[in-house]
Amino acid sequence: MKKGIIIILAVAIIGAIALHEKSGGNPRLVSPGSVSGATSAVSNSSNVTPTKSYKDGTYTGQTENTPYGPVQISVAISSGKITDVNFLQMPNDLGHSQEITNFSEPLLKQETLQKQTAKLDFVTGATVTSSGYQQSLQAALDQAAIS
Amino acid sequence: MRRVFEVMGTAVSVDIPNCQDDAVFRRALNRLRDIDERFSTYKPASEVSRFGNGKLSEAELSRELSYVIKECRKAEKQTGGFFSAWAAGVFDPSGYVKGWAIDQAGKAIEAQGYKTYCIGAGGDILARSESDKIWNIGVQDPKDNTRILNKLSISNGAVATSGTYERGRHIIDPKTKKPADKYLSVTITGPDIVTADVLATAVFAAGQNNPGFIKNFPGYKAISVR
Repeated sequence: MKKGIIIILAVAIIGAIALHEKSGGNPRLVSPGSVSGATSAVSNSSNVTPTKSYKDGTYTGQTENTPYGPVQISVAISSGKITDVNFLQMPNDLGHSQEITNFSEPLLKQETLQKQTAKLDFVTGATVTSSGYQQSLQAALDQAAIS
Repeated sequence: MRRVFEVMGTAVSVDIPNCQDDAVFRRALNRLRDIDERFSTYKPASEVSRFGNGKLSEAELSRELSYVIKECRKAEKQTGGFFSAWAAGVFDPSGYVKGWAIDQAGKAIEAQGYKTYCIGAGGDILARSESDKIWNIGVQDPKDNTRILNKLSISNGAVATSGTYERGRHIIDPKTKKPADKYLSVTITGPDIVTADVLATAVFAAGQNNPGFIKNFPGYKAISVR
Protein backbone atom coordinates (compact mmCIF):
# COMPACT_ATOMS: atom_id res chain seq x y z
CA MET A 1 0.00 0.00 0.00
CA LYS A 2 1.30 3.38 -0.92
CA LYS A 3 1.70 5.37 2.20
CA GLY A 4 0.90 9.00 2.22
CA ILE A 5 3.05 11.57 3.78
CA ILE A 6 2.00 14.07 6.34
CA ILE A 7 3.99 17.17 6.55
CA ILE A 8 3.69 18.81 9.88
CA LEU A 9 4.54 22.42 9.79
CA ALA A 10 5.18 24.26 12.94
CA VAL A 11 4.15 27.54 11.47
CA ALA A 12 4.56 29.53 14.61
CA ILE A 13 4.93 29.07 18.24
CA ILE A 14 3.00 31.63 20.12
CA GLY A 15 -0.68 30.87 20.31
CA ALA A 16 -3.62 32.59 21.80
CA ILE A 17 -5.36 29.40 20.82
CA ALA A 18 -5.62 26.78 23.51
CA LEU A 19 -4.85 23.48 21.88
CA HIS A 20 -5.66 20.54 24.02
CA GLU A 21 -4.48 17.14 23.13
CA LYS A 22 -6.18 14.32 24.77
CA SER A 23 -3.97 11.86 26.54
CA GLY A 24 -5.46 8.93 28.31
CA GLY A 25 -8.75 9.91 29.86
CA ASN A 26 -8.16 13.51 30.79
CA PRO A 27 -7.66 16.46 28.52
CA ARG A 28 -4.20 17.87 28.84
CA LEU A 29 -3.47 21.41 27.91
CA VAL A 30 -0.73 21.60 25.37
CA SER A 31 0.13 24.98 24.09
CA PRO A 32 1.59 25.14 20.61
CA GLY A 33 4.69 26.50 22.28
CA SER A 34 5.25 23.48 24.42
CA VAL A 35 4.57 21.17 21.50
CA SER A 36 7.04 22.82 19.22
CA GLY A 37 9.50 23.46 21.98
CA ALA A 38 10.46 19.82 21.96
CA THR A 39 13.65 18.96 20.20
CA SER A 40 13.19 15.31 19.60
CA ALA A 41 10.40 13.32 18.31
CA VAL A 42 8.90 10.30 15.99
CA SER A 43 7.78 6.92 16.24
CA ASN A 44 6.57 5.29 13.15
CA SER A 45 3.70 2.94 13.13
CA SER A 46 5.84 -0.10 13.77
CA ASN A 47 6.11 0.85 17.40
CA VAL A 48 2.45 1.30 17.93
CA THR A 49 0.70 -0.77 15.32
CA PRO A 50 -2.28 -2.11 17.16
CA THR A 51 -3.16 -5.72 17.30
CA LYS A 52 -6.27 -7.28 18.67
CA SER A 53 -4.36 -8.20 21.77
CA TYR A 54 -3.60 -4.62 22.74
CA LYS A 55 -4.48 -3.71 26.26
CA ASP A 56 -6.15 -0.45 27.09
CA GLY A 57 -3.90 2.47 27.82
CA THR A 58 -1.85 5.17 26.19
CA TYR A 59 1.13 3.97 24.20
CA THR A 60 3.95 6.32 23.46
CA GLY A 61 6.21 5.56 20.56
CA GLN A 62 9.93 6.02 20.59
CA THR A 63 11.38 9.19 19.30
CA GLU A 64 12.54 8.65 15.79
CA ASN A 65 14.59 10.76 13.49
CA THR A 66 13.24 11.34 10.06
CA PRO A 67 15.14 13.09 7.29
CA TYR A 68 13.14 16.14 8.23
CA GLY A 69 13.48 16.01 11.97
CA PRO A 70 12.43 14.03 14.99
CA VAL A 71 8.83 13.18 15.78
CA GLN A 72 7.08 11.27 18.50
CA ILE A 73 3.47 10.22 18.74
CA SER A 74 1.27 8.47 21.23
CA VAL A 75 -1.76 6.31 20.66
CA ALA A 76 -4.60 5.75 23.10
CA ILE A 77 -6.22 2.31 23.14
CA SER A 78 -9.63 1.76 24.63
CA SER A 79 -11.55 -1.52 24.46
CA GLY A 80 -8.79 -2.85 22.25
CA LYS A 81 -9.33 -0.10 19.67
CA ILE A 82 -7.37 3.01 18.92
CA THR A 83 -9.27 5.98 20.21
CA ASP A 84 -6.74 8.69 19.72
CA VAL A 85 -3.48 9.57 18.04
CA ASN A 86 -1.50 12.48 19.39
CA PHE A 87 1.59 14.29 18.32
CA LEU A 88 3.65 14.56 21.45
CA GLN A 89 6.62 16.31 20.06
CA MET A 90 7.24 18.43 17.11
CA PRO A 91 10.35 20.32 16.14
CA ASN A 92 10.95 23.81 17.40
CA ASP A 93 12.81 24.98 14.37
CA LEU A 94 10.39 26.90 12.23
CA GLY A 95 12.78 26.72 9.32
CA HIS A 96 12.54 22.97 9.08
CA SER A 97 9.20 21.32 8.73
CA GLN A 98 8.51 17.67 9.20
CA GLU A 99 7.72 15.05 6.66
CA ILE A 100 6.37 12.04 8.40
CA THR A 101 5.28 8.78 6.91
CA ASN A 102 1.58 8.72 7.31
CA PHE A 103 1.45 6.63 10.42
CA SER A 104 -2.02 7.62 11.41
CA GLU A 105 -3.65 6.25 8.30
CA PRO A 106 -2.82 2.58 8.75
CA LEU A 107 -3.60 2.89 12.41
CA LEU A 108 -6.92 4.54 12.00
CA LYS A 109 -7.93 2.30 9.12
CA GLN A 110 -8.48 -0.39 11.67
CA GLU A 111 -11.11 1.55 13.47
CA THR A 112 -14.73 1.57 12.62
CA LEU A 113 -16.27 4.81 11.51
CA GLN A 114 -18.39 4.84 14.61
CA LYS A 115 -15.43 4.53 16.91
CA GLN A 116 -13.61 7.30 15.16
CA THR A 117 -16.39 9.80 15.26
CA ALA A 118 -17.71 8.96 18.70
CA LYS A 119 -15.79 11.73 20.37
CA LEU A 120 -15.81 14.31 17.61
CA ASP A 121 -17.90 17.48 17.42
CA PHE A 122 -16.87 18.72 13.99
CA VAL A 123 -14.75 17.65 11.03
CA THR A 124 -12.47 19.79 8.90
CA GLY A 125 -11.83 18.78 5.33
CA ALA A 126 -11.90 20.17 1.83
CA THR A 127 -15.54 19.23 1.34
CA VAL A 128 -17.22 22.46 0.49
CA THR A 129 -20.28 21.89 -1.65
CA SER A 130 -23.71 20.91 -0.40
CA SER A 131 -23.54 17.63 -2.28
CA GLY A 132 -20.13 16.88 -0.85
CA TYR A 133 -21.51 17.62 2.58
CA GLN A 134 -24.19 14.96 2.23
CA GLN A 135 -21.47 12.31 2.00
CA SER A 136 -19.29 13.72 4.72
CA LEU A 137 -18.46 12.81 8.27
CA GLN A 138 -19.66 16.26 9.24
CA ALA A 139 -23.16 15.37 8.03
CA ALA A 140 -23.10 12.19 10.09
CA LEU A 141 -22.00 14.11 13.17
CA ASP A 142 -24.71 16.73 12.62
CA GLN A 143 -27.38 14.05 12.28
CA ALA A 144 -26.25 12.44 15.49
CA ALA A 145 -26.25 15.79 17.31
CA ILE A 146 -29.65 16.89 16.06
CA SER A 147 -31.58 13.68 16.40
CA MET B 1 -28.50 22.50 20.31
CA ARG B 2 -27.26 22.15 16.80
CA ARG B 3 -28.70 23.38 13.52
CA VAL B 4 -27.57 22.94 9.92
CA PHE B 5 -28.32 25.52 7.26
CA GLU B 6 -27.76 25.53 3.55
CA VAL B 7 -26.29 28.85 2.55
CA MET B 8 -23.37 30.12 0.45
CA GLY B 9 -23.53 26.94 -1.61
CA THR B 10 -22.54 24.82 1.34
CA ALA B 11 -23.88 23.43 4.59
CA VAL B 12 -23.24 25.46 7.70
CA SER B 13 -23.40 23.61 11.01
CA VAL B 14 -23.93 25.67 14.13
CA ASP B 15 -23.75 24.25 17.65
CA ILE B 16 -24.66 26.38 20.66
CA PRO B 17 -24.77 23.97 23.58
CA ASN B 18 -26.72 26.18 25.96
CA CYS B 19 -29.19 27.54 23.45
CA GLN B 20 -32.64 26.15 22.70
CA ASP B 21 -33.84 29.25 20.87
CA ASP B 22 -34.18 28.95 17.11
CA ALA B 23 -34.21 32.73 16.74
CA VAL B 24 -30.58 32.91 17.87
CA PHE B 25 -29.54 30.55 15.08
CA ARG B 26 -31.71 32.41 12.59
CA ARG B 27 -29.96 35.72 13.21
CA ALA B 28 -26.62 34.08 12.47
CA LEU B 29 -28.11 32.53 9.33
CA ASN B 30 -29.50 35.88 8.21
CA ARG B 31 -26.06 37.44 8.52
CA LEU B 32 -24.64 34.67 6.30
CA ARG B 33 -27.42 35.18 3.76
CA ASP B 34 -26.80 38.92 3.61
CA ILE B 35 -23.11 38.32 3.02
CA ASP B 36 -23.90 35.77 0.32
CA GLU B 37 -26.23 38.23 -1.44
CA ARG B 38 -23.49 40.80 -1.60
CA PHE B 39 -20.43 38.60 -2.19
CA SER B 40 -21.58 35.62 -4.23
CA THR B 41 -19.79 35.27 -7.54
CA TYR B 42 -22.56 32.94 -8.67
CA LYS B 43 -25.24 35.63 -8.46
CA PRO B 44 -25.10 38.03 -11.42
CA ALA B 45 -26.83 40.76 -9.41
CA SER B 46 -24.50 40.60 -6.43
CA GLU B 47 -22.33 43.60 -5.74
CA VAL B 48 -19.21 41.49 -6.28
CA SER B 49 -20.45 40.34 -9.70
CA ARG B 50 -21.32 43.87 -10.75
CA PHE B 51 -17.93 45.10 -9.58
CA GLY B 52 -16.25 42.20 -11.38
CA ASN B 53 -17.89 42.93 -14.72
CA GLY B 54 -17.23 46.64 -14.48
CA LYS B 55 -20.79 47.80 -13.80
CA LEU B 56 -19.68 49.29 -10.50
CA SER B 57 -16.57 51.32 -9.97
CA GLU B 58 -14.55 51.06 -6.79
CA ALA B 59 -15.80 54.48 -5.70
CA GLU B 60 -19.40 53.24 -5.80
CA LEU B 61 -18.93 50.23 -3.57
CA SER B 62 -20.49 49.54 -0.21
CA ARG B 63 -18.37 49.92 2.88
CA GLU B 64 -18.37 46.14 3.34
CA LEU B 65 -17.08 45.34 -0.13
CA SER B 66 -14.51 48.11 0.08
CA TYR B 67 -13.34 46.59 3.36
CA VAL B 68 -13.07 43.10 1.85
CA ILE B 69 -11.13 44.37 -1.16
CA LYS B 70 -8.74 46.18 1.16
CA GLU B 71 -8.31 43.04 3.30
CA CYS B 72 -7.76 40.86 0.22
CA ARG B 73 -4.99 43.19 -0.93
CA LYS B 74 -3.46 43.04 2.53
CA ALA B 75 -3.64 39.22 2.62
CA GLU B 76 -2.03 39.03 -0.82
CA LYS B 77 0.83 41.18 0.37
CA GLN B 78 1.27 39.26 3.63
CA THR B 79 1.32 35.89 1.86
CA GLY B 80 3.84 36.98 -0.70
CA GLY B 81 1.17 36.73 -3.38
CA PHE B 82 0.19 33.13 -2.68
CA PHE B 83 -3.24 34.20 -1.59
CA SER B 84 -4.80 36.32 -4.28
CA ALA B 85 -8.42 37.25 -4.87
CA TRP B 86 -7.28 37.92 -8.43
CA ALA B 87 -5.64 34.50 -8.95
CA ALA B 88 -8.13 33.45 -11.62
CA GLY B 89 -7.87 36.75 -13.48
CA VAL B 90 -11.14 38.27 -12.27
CA PHE B 91 -11.81 39.50 -8.76
CA ASP B 92 -13.10 36.59 -6.70
CA PRO B 93 -12.91 37.17 -2.94
CA SER B 94 -14.58 33.84 -2.07
CA GLY B 95 -11.40 32.58 -0.43
CA TYR B 96 -11.53 35.47 1.97
CA VAL B 97 -15.28 35.84 2.35
CA LYS B 98 -15.99 32.32 3.59
CA GLY B 99 -13.84 32.71 6.69
CA TRP B 100 -15.01 36.26 7.20
CA ALA B 101 -18.67 35.20 6.91
CA ILE B 102 -18.18 32.58 9.63
CA ASP B 103 -16.49 35.19 11.79
CA GLN B 104 -19.46 37.49 11.27
CA ALA B 105 -21.95 34.74 12.09
CA GLY B 106 -20.00 34.12 15.29
CA LYS B 107 -20.24 37.79 16.20
CA ALA B 108 -24.00 37.64 15.61
CA ILE B 109 -24.24 34.74 18.07
CA GLU B 110 -22.07 36.50 20.63
CA ALA B 111 -24.15 39.66 20.34
CA GLN B 112 -27.07 37.61 21.62
CA GLY B 113 -25.18 36.61 24.74
CA TYR B 114 -23.84 33.19 23.75
CA LYS B 115 -20.08 32.84 24.13
CA THR B 116 -19.79 29.07 23.79
CA TYR B 117 -20.49 27.84 20.29
CA CYS B 118 -18.96 26.22 17.25
CA ILE B 119 -19.59 26.94 13.59
CA GLY B 120 -18.46 24.65 10.80
CA ALA B 121 -18.80 25.49 7.13
CA GLY B 122 -17.04 23.76 4.27
CA GLY B 123 -13.97 22.79 6.25
CA ASP B 124 -13.73 26.04 8.20
CA ILE B 125 -14.40 25.78 11.89
CA LEU B 126 -14.70 28.53 14.48
CA ALA B 127 -14.74 27.28 18.07
CA ARG B 128 -15.53 29.40 21.09
CA SER B 129 -15.79 28.35 24.69
CA GLU B 130 -16.40 30.36 27.80
CA SER B 131 -17.00 27.25 29.87
CA ASP B 132 -15.03 24.03 30.16
CA LYS B 133 -16.43 22.89 26.82
CA ILE B 134 -13.69 21.53 24.59
CA TRP B 135 -14.49 21.15 20.91
CA ASN B 136 -13.09 18.00 19.33
CA ILE B 137 -12.29 18.51 15.66
CA GLY B 138 -11.42 15.65 13.35
CA VAL B 139 -9.03 16.29 10.47
CA GLN B 140 -10.42 14.41 7.51
CA ASP B 141 -8.25 12.06 5.47
CA PRO B 142 -8.07 13.61 1.99
CA LYS B 143 -7.82 10.14 0.49
CA ASP B 144 -10.90 8.80 2.26
CA ASN B 145 -13.58 11.18 3.45
CA THR B 146 -14.98 8.64 5.87
CA ARG B 147 -11.73 8.67 7.84
CA ILE B 148 -9.93 11.05 10.09
CA LEU B 149 -6.17 11.48 10.36
CA ASN B 150 -5.97 13.31 13.63
CA LYS B 151 -8.02 14.99 16.26
CA LEU B 152 -7.63 18.55 17.48
CA SER B 153 -9.17 19.54 20.79
CA ILE B 154 -9.77 23.25 20.96
CA SER B 155 -11.52 25.58 23.37
CA ASN B 156 -11.06 28.84 21.51
CA GLY B 157 -9.63 28.90 18.05
CA ALA B 158 -10.11 28.30 14.37
CA VAL B 159 -9.36 25.51 11.94
CA ALA B 160 -9.44 25.76 8.15
CA THR B 161 -8.72 23.19 5.46
CA SER B 162 -8.00 23.73 1.80
CA GLY B 163 -7.69 20.96 -0.71
CA THR B 164 -8.71 19.66 -4.06
CA TYR B 165 -10.39 16.53 -3.03
CA GLU B 166 -13.75 17.53 -4.31
CA ARG B 167 -14.13 16.87 -7.99
CA GLY B 168 -13.52 19.83 -10.20
CA ARG B 169 -12.32 22.13 -7.46
CA HIS B 170 -8.93 23.65 -7.80
CA ILE B 171 -6.87 26.20 -5.99
CA ILE B 172 -4.96 28.20 -8.54
CA ASP B 173 -1.37 29.06 -7.75
CA PRO B 174 -1.43 32.82 -8.40
CA LYS B 175 2.20 32.67 -9.55
CA THR B 176 1.85 30.02 -12.22
CA LYS B 177 -1.90 30.41 -12.86
CA LYS B 178 -2.09 26.62 -12.76
CA PRO B 179 -3.86 24.40 -10.23
CA ALA B 180 -1.69 23.75 -7.18
CA ASP B 181 -1.16 20.02 -6.85
CA LYS B 182 1.62 19.37 -4.39
CA TYR B 183 -0.70 18.66 -1.47
CA LEU B 184 -3.96 16.84 -1.06
CA SER B 185 -4.95 19.06 1.82
CA VAL B 186 -3.62 21.76 4.10
CA THR B 187 -5.19 22.32 7.50
CA ILE B 188 -4.35 25.44 9.49
CA THR B 189 -5.06 26.06 13.16
CA GLY B 190 -4.84 29.43 14.82
CA PRO B 191 -6.71 32.10 16.73
CA ASP B 192 -8.64 33.68 13.89
CA ILE B 193 -10.79 31.96 11.24
CA VAL B 194 -10.27 34.58 8.55
CA THR B 195 -6.50 34.30 8.78
CA ALA B 196 -6.59 30.51 9.08
CA ASP B 197 -8.68 30.27 5.92
CA VAL B 198 -6.43 32.62 3.97
CA LEU B 199 -3.35 30.70 5.13
CA ALA B 200 -4.84 27.32 4.19
CA THR B 201 -5.30 28.59 0.64
CA ALA B 202 -1.89 30.27 0.52
CA VAL B 203 0.11 27.32 1.91
CA PHE B 204 -1.76 24.99 -0.44
CA ALA B 205 -1.02 27.23 -3.41
CA ALA B 206 2.60 27.66 -2.38
CA GLY B 207 2.93 23.88 -2.21
CA GLN B 208 5.71 24.06 0.31
CA ASN B 209 5.56 23.49 4.00
CA ASN B 210 7.81 26.34 4.94
CA PRO B 211 6.91 29.31 2.78
CA GLY B 212 8.66 32.52 3.65
CA PHE B 213 5.47 34.39 4.41
CA ILE B 214 4.78 32.20 7.44
CA LYS B 215 6.80 34.56 9.60
CA ASN B 216 4.03 37.11 9.20
CA PHE B 217 1.58 34.84 11.02
CA PRO B 218 2.58 33.98 14.57
CA GLY B 219 0.23 31.58 16.33
CA TYR B 220 -0.72 29.54 13.27
CA LYS B 221 0.18 25.92 12.63
CA ALA B 222 -0.31 23.71 9.58
CA ILE B 223 -0.92 20.02 9.00
CA SER B 224 -0.32 19.34 5.33
CA VAL B 225 -1.08 16.02 3.69
CA ARG B 226 0.15 14.70 0.40
